[in-house]
Amino acid sequence: MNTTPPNPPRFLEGILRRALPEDAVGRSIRGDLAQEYRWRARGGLGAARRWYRREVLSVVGYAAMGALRSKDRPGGSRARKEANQSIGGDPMWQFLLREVRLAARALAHAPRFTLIAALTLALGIGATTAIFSAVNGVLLRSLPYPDSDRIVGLWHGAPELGYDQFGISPGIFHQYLTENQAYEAMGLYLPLQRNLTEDGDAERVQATASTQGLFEVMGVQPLMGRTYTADEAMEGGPGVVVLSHGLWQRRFGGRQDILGRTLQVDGYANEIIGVMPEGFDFGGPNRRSEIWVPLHINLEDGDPGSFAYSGVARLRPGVTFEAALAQEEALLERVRERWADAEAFINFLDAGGFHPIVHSLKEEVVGDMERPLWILLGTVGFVLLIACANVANLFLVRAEGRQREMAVRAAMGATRGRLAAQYLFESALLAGLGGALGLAVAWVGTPLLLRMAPPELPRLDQVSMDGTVLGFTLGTTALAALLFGAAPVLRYNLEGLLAVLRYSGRGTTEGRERHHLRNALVVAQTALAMVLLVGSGLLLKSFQEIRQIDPGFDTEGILTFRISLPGSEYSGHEETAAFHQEMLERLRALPGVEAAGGVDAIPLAGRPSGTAWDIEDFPVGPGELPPMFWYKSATPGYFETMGISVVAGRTFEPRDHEQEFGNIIVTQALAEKHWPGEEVLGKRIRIVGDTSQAGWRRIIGVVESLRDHGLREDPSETVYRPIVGFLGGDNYRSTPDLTYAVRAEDPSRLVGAVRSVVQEMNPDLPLAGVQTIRTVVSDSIVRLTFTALALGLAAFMALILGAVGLYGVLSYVVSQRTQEIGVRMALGAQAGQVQSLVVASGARLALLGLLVGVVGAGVLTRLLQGMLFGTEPLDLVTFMGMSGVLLVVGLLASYLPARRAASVNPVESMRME
Amino acid sequence: MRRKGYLGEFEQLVLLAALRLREEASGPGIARELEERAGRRVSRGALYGTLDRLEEKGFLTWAIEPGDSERSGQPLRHFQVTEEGLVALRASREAVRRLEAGLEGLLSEG
Repeated sequence: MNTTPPNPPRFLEGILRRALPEDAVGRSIRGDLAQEYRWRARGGLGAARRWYRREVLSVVGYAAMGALRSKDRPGGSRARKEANQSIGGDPMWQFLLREVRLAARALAHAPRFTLIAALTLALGIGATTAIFSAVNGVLLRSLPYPDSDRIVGLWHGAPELGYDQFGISPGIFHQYLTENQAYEAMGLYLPLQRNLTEDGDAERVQATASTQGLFEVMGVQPLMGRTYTADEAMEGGPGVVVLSHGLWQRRFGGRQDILGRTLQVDGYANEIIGVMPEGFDFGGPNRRSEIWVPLHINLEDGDPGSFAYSGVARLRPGVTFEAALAQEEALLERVRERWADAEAFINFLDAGGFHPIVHSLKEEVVGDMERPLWILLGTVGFVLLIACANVANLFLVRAEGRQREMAVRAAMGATRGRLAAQYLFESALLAGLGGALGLAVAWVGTPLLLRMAPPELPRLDQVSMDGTVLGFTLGTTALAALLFGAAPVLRYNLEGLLAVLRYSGRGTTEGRERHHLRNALVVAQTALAMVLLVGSGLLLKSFQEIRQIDPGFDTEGILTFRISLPGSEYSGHEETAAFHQEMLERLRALPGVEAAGGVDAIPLAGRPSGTAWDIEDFPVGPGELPPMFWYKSATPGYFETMGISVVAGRTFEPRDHEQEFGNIIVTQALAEKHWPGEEVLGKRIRIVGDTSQAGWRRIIGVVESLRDHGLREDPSETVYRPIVGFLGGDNYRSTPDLTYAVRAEDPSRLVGAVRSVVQEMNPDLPLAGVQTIRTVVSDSIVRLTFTALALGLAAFMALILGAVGLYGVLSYVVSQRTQEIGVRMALGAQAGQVQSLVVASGARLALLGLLVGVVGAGVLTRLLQGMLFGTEPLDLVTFMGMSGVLLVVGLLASYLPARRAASVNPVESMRME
Repeated sequence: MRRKGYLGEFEQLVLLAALRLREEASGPGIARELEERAGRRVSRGALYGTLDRLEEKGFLTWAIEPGDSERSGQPLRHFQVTEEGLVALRASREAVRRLEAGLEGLLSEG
């Protein structure tokens, strides 16, 4: 071969050259690596390059260690000395080490400055890092499935009817499945809860019923065994179940012979055919599932109008969201053709403006947490800026005190660059210290933050301090170092410094000097603090407004819990009703219990069903749509327990679910909307499409308006029916799932007693969702609460930091102008006058900051729009209130320096040089 | 500071490799010998650090020679195990031998 051996990569070689000393040893090491590179290059350049890069890094590390150690043994070994032919020029290391050592010494000589600065920075960097790790885990990291951004959810919307987004029906799913080109896998699923009973341990778990395609879409293989096949997922298929890793560990101790065993699911025996790997728990966006069972429906006969289901799909490579959406829209035409005879369904499609929605699963998971989190990050960023401004001010003060030292260096030939470098090294070292402390703050603070966070905050488990977060911390630390290190560099120049030496004196800044930069920093801090104050004030106001709302039911003194009666044990309506009846009697008999009742969907946390109803008095005309009402089932005693007042008629009695069946109770909102000003009792309504003889229900009571869908929502239009309904012939509807409500003075104390009652009635029945109504209510506004708390905390920190900043500037001014103050006092100025002078200058700065802050707040509070309630973003009271707070704090911060100024002794001050 | 008489495991391997190679005991040579015979991936940083340490302890010396174009003209270091180094190696071997006594069955795998 005639090719000359290649040279090692120039860039890496350069690094090596600069890292190693220029003596014979260093050069021989460079030669060694070059030689080996050429050997390896014979076997392939790529591998040789990779090797070279790796080993250059390793040798650089070795050189750094050597540079550090060589301080202890200045001479080096004898052999080294003999062979040493130093070529001059400072190796990079010596320079770096020396500068760092100098900077460290300078900082160590000013311990108070260093401590305050480092702590201030630690606070700012720590808070920012903690919030960023939340943002990273929730928003930035991808979902834990292979190629997760190719996974989409199959949604639909009917905006004309007020439905922004809902799922998919089996009929429509089938159409997409058989004819689309955009997806390589599709899955249909339904979230459920199931009771697991096994050797006495009853447990209620989140379950998911799905087609076999669900697992294909998510792209995760089972750890053991298999998932169900397409045949098994059809109607009439076997009872099989797939377990999550967590359930397998928890309930079965991770036993190896788990496959083939039986699991009682709602009383029916299911064979365990597979276990999913650790970390897989998909049961819907933001929903964890512990078991998966086959859906057991025939997709071909699937009902097109039943939208309780959800769908996911995996895009084929190269297919965009838009293309998939277009496909679905085209396929919907086929759906219309196929079910042209189903009038109600077609009506719904037309009148609702029905259309498909396709977006990535991740968007769904993150939901509307995106904005609050970014707002939070911005907030904390402000705090960091304020902290940097404080440290910059501290630096400036210090720089002023060191002018003489700098001037001497300048006179001895140091360039502006070298002087600037000295400041930058100090600021870098300080920033490094602050950053390290900040990491510790974040380490402790992030778990605390998460504990306060809304429980529905998606992907909480993904929040950790990983490489990205550490990189972010490094970045903010570097930025901070630049920001405040630049301050003294900007402020001073060489000419000024040399002038210092020429005129012996204290320095260039005397008398009337305006301290422009420092003042600007204080104004900026104050403005930022004002923005934060206003923001948190608005949220606080919203929080208070929401708590004032009377939702129509009592928000204290009630305990709730859910029970689900398995169909295998309670098969008839009589058994179910008897169980609920007896349960309520036993609950009422407990000491301390004032009332008890049950409903299938509790306010705020429950998910009621909704459907269209015909009103007898107002038949629906052609082309019109019947109204939609929510409907719930309730036991006698429910309304009394919840403190819901009766506005007309009566509440349920045992005869309503034992003999009469057709009586219903409606909410006031419903009554007033459809029969304004009229008597409602005795009116009849029925579910659209229910042509059975028992279809028409009679209104026998009206209860007060309830905000049971959300405290911010309008009162709901809801129909309540008894827990048993008559469907005609021999068929009855019963309510196996019920949430019980128990009214007592101290509801949380009843938990134990309640569990015993359930245990006595049926030891195989697990309780779920045991919580007081107070928890239910506060959980429903937890997002607002969390954001208000976090913003309030930030505003508080900003206020403190800003006050410290203002105090610092004023203190400094006073100390610089002591002579002048002394002269004034000697000429007759009173202590009070001097004090007012200082306070006035503080007030000026604060006021200027306030004005800038008000403008900033006016612009930025718009971002809070979605979270505010009962208050506008530009609420006058809040703005004025926070202005007051800021001014008071500013005055307080000015007070101490003012006192100091007033206590100046004129004679002493003039003696100072 | 350093306990002069003791040899770490890697230090032993490096000295043994240097002994094997005699005239070819250079940095790359020792590294290759370790990688091939001991099956260990040797980071060059660790290697040069160990060579420095062995030299400080007096177990190794090196001499400079001019290098050729394959080394980009850079000089070459030739390592040689000293008498003290040999003594230390023997002591290490003896220590191992004494501890191994009686365990031959366990230590010799099939």
